[in-house]
Amino acid sequence: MPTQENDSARSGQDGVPAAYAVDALRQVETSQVRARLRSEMTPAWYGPVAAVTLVVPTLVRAWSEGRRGWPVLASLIVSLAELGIVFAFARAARRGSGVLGPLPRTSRMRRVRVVLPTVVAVGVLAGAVCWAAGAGETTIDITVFAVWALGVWGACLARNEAIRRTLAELG
Amino acid sequence: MTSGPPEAVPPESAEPERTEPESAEPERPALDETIHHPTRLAVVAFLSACDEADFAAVRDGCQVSDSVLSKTASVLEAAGYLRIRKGHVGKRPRTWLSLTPAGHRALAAHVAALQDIVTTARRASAREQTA
Repeated sequence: MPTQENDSARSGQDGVPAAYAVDALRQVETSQVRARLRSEMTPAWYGPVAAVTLVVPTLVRAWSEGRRGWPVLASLIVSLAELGIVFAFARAARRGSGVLGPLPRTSRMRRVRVVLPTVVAVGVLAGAVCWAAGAGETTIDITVFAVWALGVWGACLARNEAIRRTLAELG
Repeated sequence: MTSGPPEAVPPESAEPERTEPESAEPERPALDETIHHPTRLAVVAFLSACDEADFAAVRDGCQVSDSVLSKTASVLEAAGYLRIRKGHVGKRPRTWLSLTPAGHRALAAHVAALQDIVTTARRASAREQTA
């Protein structure tokens, strides 16, 4: 006569119940999701630092405009160093998250297809508003970069918050 | 129907309970005793999803205490499944954990064994319901 036990109460190899196996598989998946989510987080300092890195070269360029001598050289050096500094901070931020690994494809796609175009579009829109209001070239430049900087900062905050919420839901 | 053991089988079988009967079934994946423990399984699974992770990140991710993770990491390192790297960020000492290729293989085999258990149980249950 067949027993009334369900499939989760059955024992598999080495007497391991199927319920245990199901729980263990769920635990494996949860741990992997947690690791991936944590690798996507950025440290709290990254948003403001990225924003400053975007704005400072624009301010230096604006300050050096119309001047001669070392301000021009300083502006050139700052502009060239900007890219390297951004990469160095991004690398430090990844190490600061505590989990190193390739970013999940979905996350990269979301950044490239949604976040980046949105931030760029808002910056351009802000610049267009300044231009329509009759602002000078320097003001437009600073406004656009300031909006991009705040956009990057905001995106970092929003992403971290979303990840924190998901991690809390995972338990 | 005869079900007794054949006389040709030598009596000096060292592990009568653990040895699988030699049937026509293909070799089933076996559970790994080292990562069978829930905490070790959680740590190995966490590390399998990244290249390297900070001690604190693994501790928070696996929701264990420092001492439990330290003990777990030592056991996994002794088994050759985990690599522990000590480093510094500024002046602060930091410990980085990563899974070795052997650790990745062990987890894959363990997960396959767990899936095998679940599949077998489901099949048996379905067979009983149709009978």
